[in-house]
This record gives sequence, structure tokens and C-alpha cells, in this order.
Amino acid sequence: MFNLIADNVHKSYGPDGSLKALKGVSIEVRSDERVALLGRSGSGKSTLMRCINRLVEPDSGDIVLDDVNITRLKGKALRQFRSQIGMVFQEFNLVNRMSVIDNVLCGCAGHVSAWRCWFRAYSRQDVEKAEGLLQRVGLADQRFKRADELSGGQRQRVGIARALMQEPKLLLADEPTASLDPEIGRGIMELIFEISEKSNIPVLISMHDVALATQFVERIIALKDGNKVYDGNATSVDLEDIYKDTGGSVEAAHTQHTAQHPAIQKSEALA
Amino acid sequence: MLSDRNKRILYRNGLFVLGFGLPLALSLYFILGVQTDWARMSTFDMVVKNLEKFLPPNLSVIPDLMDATLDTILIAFLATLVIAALVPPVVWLSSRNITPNIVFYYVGRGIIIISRSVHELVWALIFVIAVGLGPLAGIMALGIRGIGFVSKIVSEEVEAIDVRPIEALRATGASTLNVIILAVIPQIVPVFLGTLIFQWEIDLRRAAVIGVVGGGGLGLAFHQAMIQFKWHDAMAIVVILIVIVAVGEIVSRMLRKRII
Repeated sequence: MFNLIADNVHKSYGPDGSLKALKGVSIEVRSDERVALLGRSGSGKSTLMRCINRLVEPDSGDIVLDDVNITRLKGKALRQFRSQIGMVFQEFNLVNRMSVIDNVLCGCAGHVSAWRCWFRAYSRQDVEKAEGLLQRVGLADQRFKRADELSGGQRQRVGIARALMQEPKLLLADEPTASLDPEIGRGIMELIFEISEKSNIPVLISMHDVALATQFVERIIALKDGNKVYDGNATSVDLEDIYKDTGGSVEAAHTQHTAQHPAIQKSEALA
Repeated sequence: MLSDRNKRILYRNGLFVLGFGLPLALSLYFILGVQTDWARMSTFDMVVKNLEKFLPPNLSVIPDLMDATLDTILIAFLATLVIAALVPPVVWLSSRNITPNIVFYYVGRGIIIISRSVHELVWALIFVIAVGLGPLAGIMALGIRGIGFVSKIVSEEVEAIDVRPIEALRATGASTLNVIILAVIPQIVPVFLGTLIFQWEIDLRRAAVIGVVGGGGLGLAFHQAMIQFKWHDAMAIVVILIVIVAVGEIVSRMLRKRII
């Protein structure tokens, strides 16, 4: 059975490594699970997410997917592994000047040749798949609009369709609702978990809102200052404790701009 | 004793005199005082009279200048194509965030500096010697001269790019090349095309000038008219240049509007 294990992951930022983002975090996600990663801004959620698909290089520790240790993969093997993990972002991370359908087709950039990408000459199969996914997220009629013409909620749906284009074995969602108003955010949560259930894709979702998390996930992992402080059943979790431990609030999410996050600046380099 | 405020004012005015007043006085003395032939100029009336030699422009020569005009327009166009072809690799080298390594980066920056710091007339003279008189030398001169400007603008745009789509593309397992194609290039295409059109407009002007040193086109015709003392013909060429540049500006504005 598929599972993802992150074992004793350490990560520091800064020239002297003084900013310790992860201080030995171990987590596990099974193929039939939906797990929420809770914690306040700066607790290490984004970094842990990016260590899992190696957008950020862990300093030490192991990432194991499907019994394969991927911690030291390089080049093509690393990209092949990444293509099996879909990712949804807080700020959608779409290519604004591209059409909606082309944004979704970016999801297959892992196995499409450069010249096909250049001419946007994707195979009929891929295009039909992308159209099907847009239908599934309710944006079939918007497919030729430019991505920046859409509303926030619609853009996140495009982001989800792009991630699904990869036919992922695991879906990472990095605060997918934090840039949206609560009502739209709930719709996005419902979409992610409906797809997860129907297509049997395990989800690891980071978020701030404990109450919202408990409505969707079976298990909660809480981080604080780079350490794991809770890992267990979502229904039996003492909400007050989590709030106290993580200081989580929706407001905190809005004050944090992801482009300034060290994990994202770190992953800025192309290699 | 001077107060702090007065000291500051004195300091500032001193700087102003040193930085601006002194160079101005020196230039006036050497350029206008020493190197200008005031005797030849004689009276103000003579200067006006000399200028009047150019008027009116002899518009009857314009039909004979159509070939040269076309040459100038084509030189500008082909030079811009050369620039369009050579800028992307230079940008790739000279943008900090996508350059393969620091040595390549300095090579790219070096190309930009050399291209920009040598005047188009100097480039034209070099290429006239390299490939002979005519439009080819002009095209190469304008091409090399323009690369630096366009590359500088575009690579600055690349360095200020939105990193979020790049992250998303990397997360799909895309190769570096595919990330550049899908997440970097779409972000810089408008600036690249806009700058290129602007460069074409500049090249129109430059194409006219470099003819003077053998780069072909209207500049050559202007030079010939001048050395034969055909002032009215020379003025007709100036009229053509004004029309070309004005039309170029209108077209450039229209095209750029469509891109943005």
C-alpha cells in the first residue's frame, strides 16, 4: 500500500543556518488518508510541504514514497518523482498571461517535450483530459479566458485542475483557502475533498482554521516552531489545545505573503 | 562660527559649483572660446544667410531618393530582426536568476556593456572595414549596437519576475527548459516585444545616420549631397527623414498598444 513517510526532517534558512524551520519532524500519510497540517505562520508548514516534493532541499532526514527513498534523487529521476505529487498553492501560482486551459495543461509539463510546450501543441489525449478536469472543477465555459480574468476562487479551481492533470499519487495543498474569503474557501475545501474521495488521492493540507480542518480530515498534525506538537485523530483533538499551541488564526494567514516566505525564495532557483 | 545649517548650505552650494559650474565654465572656454572660428562666422547676419542656403528643400529630388529611403527602412527592419534573434541568449546569460553560472553572467553583462558603450557610428566604421561599404555593414552595426539596450531591459524584467508560477511548474516535475518556456517566457514576452518595437523606431533614426560613414541608405545620399554643396537636396533628405521617423513613431505606438 502506498504511503508517504517524512522521517526526522531538518531544515534551516539563512547564510549561517540560524533560522531553523524544521527541527526533526517525522510524519506519515497513508493512501487512504486526509491529513491536515496545522500551525501558525512560521511554524514550518510550508517548508515541510516543500521538503516532501523537494522544492526545498531538506538539510537532513529522509522522504520515502512508496518504499522508495527519494531524498537523494537527482535530475530526471527527481522530476519523475515530483510529477507524481500534485501541489495546490495559497496564491494559486498560475501563469497569468496564459489561458485557463493552457494553465491546466502545465500540469503535464513533466512528461511533455520542450517543443510541444513551446507551441502549446499538446496531444489530443492531454487536451481532452484537461477539458474533462475543467468540467470537473466547474470551469468548462471559462477555458479560453486568461487566468488573470478569473476570480480568486476560480483561479484556485484552475490550480486544482492543474495538480490533477499530473494524476498525482498524493495531493499537497499549501493553505489553499488562505487567500480566499471563508465562503469561497469552504467551496474549495469541498472540491478538494470530494475529488480526493472519488479518485482515491490522499491529501496533505496545511491550514490555519482548526474548526474547518476537523470537518474534512481524519487526522491532524500540528507544528510549532519547527517541531511536531500533535499527531492524531481529528475528532478527538482538543481544539482549545491546538489553538493555544499553534496560535492559529485566519488573520495570521492573510498577513503572510507567500512570495516573501523563505521556503519559496529558496525554491526560486530553477534547478 | 558657522551654524550646522549654514555649513550644510555652504557644502551643498560648494558641491553645486564644483560639480556643475566649474565643468560648464571650462567647456564654454575651451569649446566656444578656443576651438570656434569666430572670424569665419563674422556677423550674425552672415550666420542667418548661411543657414538660408538650405531653404527651401529641393523636393524634386525626392523621387530619385526612393531607393535610398527603402534601403534605410530595410536596414532598420533587418537590424531589429538581428537584435530579436540575439537578445534571448544574451538575456539568458545576463539575468541573475536564470544564468547557468556566474562566469556566463559576467559574459552576458559584458556583451551588454560593450554593445551600449560603443556608438553606432563607430560600430558602422568597424563593420564597413569588415564587410565593405553598404547596407550589410549598417545592419550589423545597428544590430550589435541595439542588443545591449534590449537585453538590459528584458533581463531586468526577468530578474523581477513573479516566482510563484515557476514554483508551480517545478512542482509538476517539469524540466528547467519547460519551466522557462511555460513560466518565464510568457511573463516577459510583452516587454520583449514592446522594447523591440521601440528599438526598431530608434534604428530608423540610426539607419539614416550611419549612412554617412558608409552604411548605405539615406545617410549616404545626405553625405553625398553635402560634399557636393547641394544644400537644397540635403534639406529634402532631412524632410524624408522627418516623415519616416514620424510614421515610425505612430506605427510603433500602435503596435505597442496592441501588445500591452
